[in-house]
Amino acid sequence: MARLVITGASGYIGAALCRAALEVGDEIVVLGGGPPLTPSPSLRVHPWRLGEALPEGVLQGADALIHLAHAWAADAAGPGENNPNFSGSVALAAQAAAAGCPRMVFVSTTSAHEEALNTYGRVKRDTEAALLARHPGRVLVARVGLVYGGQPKGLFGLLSMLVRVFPVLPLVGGATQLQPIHVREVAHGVRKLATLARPDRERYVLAQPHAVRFDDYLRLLRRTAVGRRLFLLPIPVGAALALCDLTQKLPFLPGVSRERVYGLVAARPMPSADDLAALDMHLMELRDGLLRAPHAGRRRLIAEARALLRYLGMRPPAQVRILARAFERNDGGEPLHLPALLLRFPALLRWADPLPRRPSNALARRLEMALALQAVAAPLPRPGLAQLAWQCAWDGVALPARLLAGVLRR
Amino acid sequence: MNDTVHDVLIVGSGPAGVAAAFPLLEAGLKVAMVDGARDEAPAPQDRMRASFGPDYSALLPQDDRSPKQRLYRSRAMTRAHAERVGLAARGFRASGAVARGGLSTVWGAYAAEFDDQDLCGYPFGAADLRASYDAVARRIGISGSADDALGAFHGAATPLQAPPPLHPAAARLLARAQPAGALTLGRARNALLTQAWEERRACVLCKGCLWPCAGGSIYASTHDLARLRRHPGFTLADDFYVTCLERAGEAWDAVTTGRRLRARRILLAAGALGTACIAMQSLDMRGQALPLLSNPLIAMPLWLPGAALLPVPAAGHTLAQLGLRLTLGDGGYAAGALYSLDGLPLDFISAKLPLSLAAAARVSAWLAGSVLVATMYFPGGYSASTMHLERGTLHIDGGVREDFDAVCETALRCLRAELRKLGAVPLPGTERAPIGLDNHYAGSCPMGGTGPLATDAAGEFGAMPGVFAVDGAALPRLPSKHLTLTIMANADRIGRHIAARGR
Repeated sequence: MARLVITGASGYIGAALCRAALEVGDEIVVLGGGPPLTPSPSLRVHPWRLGEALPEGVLQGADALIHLAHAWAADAAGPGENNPNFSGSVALAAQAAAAGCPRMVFVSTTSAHEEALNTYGRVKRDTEAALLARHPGRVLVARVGLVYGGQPKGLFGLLSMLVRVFPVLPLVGGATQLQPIHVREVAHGVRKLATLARPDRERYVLAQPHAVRFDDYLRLLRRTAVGRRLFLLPIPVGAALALCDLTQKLPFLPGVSRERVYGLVAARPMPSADDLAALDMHLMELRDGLLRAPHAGRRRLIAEARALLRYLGMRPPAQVRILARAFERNDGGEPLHLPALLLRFPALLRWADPLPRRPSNALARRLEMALALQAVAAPLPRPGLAQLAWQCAWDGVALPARLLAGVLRR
Repeated sequence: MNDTVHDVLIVGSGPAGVAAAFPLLEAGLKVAMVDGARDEAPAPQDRMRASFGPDYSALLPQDDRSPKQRLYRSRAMTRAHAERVGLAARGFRASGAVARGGLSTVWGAYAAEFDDQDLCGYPFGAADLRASYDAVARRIGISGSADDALGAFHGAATPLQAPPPLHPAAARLLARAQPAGALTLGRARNALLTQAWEERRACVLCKGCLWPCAGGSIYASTHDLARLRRHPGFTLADDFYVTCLERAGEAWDAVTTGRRLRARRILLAAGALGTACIAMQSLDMRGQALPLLSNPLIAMPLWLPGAALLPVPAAGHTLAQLGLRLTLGDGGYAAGALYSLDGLPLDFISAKLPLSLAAAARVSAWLAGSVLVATMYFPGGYSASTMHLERGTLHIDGGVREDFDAVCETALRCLRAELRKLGAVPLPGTERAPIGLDNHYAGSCPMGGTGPLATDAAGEFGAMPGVFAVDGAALPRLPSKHLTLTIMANADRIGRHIAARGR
């Protein structure tokens, strides 16, 4: 169990990191926007923005500061020392050092190389260099590859949405070699860096050692998401940039910034096998990871949402897709993998209904989400006394099993 | 607007801000209002989206204590307010709104007057508020009864509309209520129209009070703001979140990032936390602790067995059904309200029952028509919370007086005993709400009080002549009654006072 201070916790990686850290019992202090998680006594949020002074005493007793925050709008200032992300990160590292924080993990990107074209990659590269030069031995850099999986956010969210909606897409940089990594693996790796006893290097590349082509990645993404083929039309970089500008101006289209194109065409594979071995990490194959991603599990999520609503007495269960979407967007997105028997006969969930109901228990949480939805969407009519007695009698029958399961869980 | 020196600048578009604006405009003064937010898109009428938000994020359980708190809008407002103000609260559940209309868009709409006993310690009496109570009550529209046992307690002279129909369970309890005894019950006073008024429609009894009221029957200060905006002497600046005030000769500048507005008088109506924060920033009061009053709150569910088999009415409302007053051992009183569960989402009750959720959902559906929830507020004197400003962050340390535990226990015992006499069965699940959950904040800029942010009887800061506190921050004492009507009446009174002084 570690005490971690995290910036950028509301982001794609940040939220996954918080979830992973809470699962292993870490104590988390978040600076800035909190993660979209159920509040926990182990999670505290302090208002803060990159560039501001840290709240007093926030780093006291911290094992590590994990810096993920990146103000995208501030990249309009271009790379260099005046970029607020650069100056804010440098100032943050100085404050962490002054407060005696033993470790700072700076989460960077595999785009942070010498030939980077996008501002994001350049700013991360410059920041890495500045932090490592000023705080040797105290700062560790995590260079993260193409993140996928979990809640569809960030670049993964954008690409997932595009391949789901459009069967044909224009393509730039199809041959670009990318190194994917599942967001849970990133969270796991970054947490390891925060608590690593004896690091033997300054930079760790968290990315699949075997690169995949960008076009293959997109095809696989659509195949696992909707089970269909994706047709790609290669276009020159100039046309891609013009298309990006167009998406910014047209309504109803997701705005794709030029930065994305620059980032893609300049991506370079980085050796990561050694770093992963040093962290004792084995990454799953992209295909396996995508099949664990929420869109692939959506059918399963829908089946589970339906079962939970039927268990609560909603007949026929309505708003199932809304509940499944809420699981996907707001509760990690992973199916609970309930046994087929429970999906087929939801009344049996009474035996699995967690006792006591703790927010840390995924089934308890999702049951409460289903209950909240049912209470608004289709409030139950007043039942008859016989039905009530029947329900309570079954509860009595199921109670020993629930109690036993509760004890075993503890 | 930048080169103009306004007669009066009001900070905040909540109930206090709009209430202060009316007498000033009527006196011919030019009034500018600044608001940290801007007009919002009409609230979704789809209850699912209104409850859980566009992304259904509010389906995720949090430590919610009421259906209202669970609403996406309430959660989003609280979060946005904490981030904007820079709140760090310990032992205190702070709420606030940097939103058009402030907290009035999610309030419970209970509207009671303070009497002379309540105003003990104030630099004025109930008679000084009479005209203001009348003006505000007529404008916002209050329904209730002046003839029952709580008529005088809620304000015998308040202009009232007829009360809406009472829920059968509440009617049953009220019918058995005895005038003598520690517990007094009466019809609730709600800012709910039962007769149409201007653009607002009379309540159609759709039981949908939890969600945005399509007919505007429940008062929100956005209704008054719409009227103010039609007045030629009124201007409104959006996205103007005042960080501090700066002296500019005889006038004051209200400052936000990159903009400032000048006025001869500034009225702070940014909510008790916001107003205190602006005043502390303006006077550069770092680290100095100020008192923050709030009403400790408890909630108790009670079952009326006799109402269990009564037919569930098809129509009704989910605001307070009854008001209650409980005499405390020290001679003071606790005040509160009784709500019916009928029409409210029942998940927050089901989740607390010691049953599987399948059974709990059915049991709560069966109970809904015969369960009332009593909420009871204790005098603000029992709160012992403080706040201070440190590096731009408002720190709040919540607490209650040492003797409160005993007072609360005695009061609960008394309430249970009195309710049993009326045939009600108090259910397990009585909760003491976290300090601050009541949203009744006051006392940081006390009228006629002492301290660095003390204000005079007209709410004018001793340390900042020309700047007035017109919201809850100015109330020097906090009786147990709901305070919004008095905040509005006091703002109106201060507005009249400034209008009388002229430009």
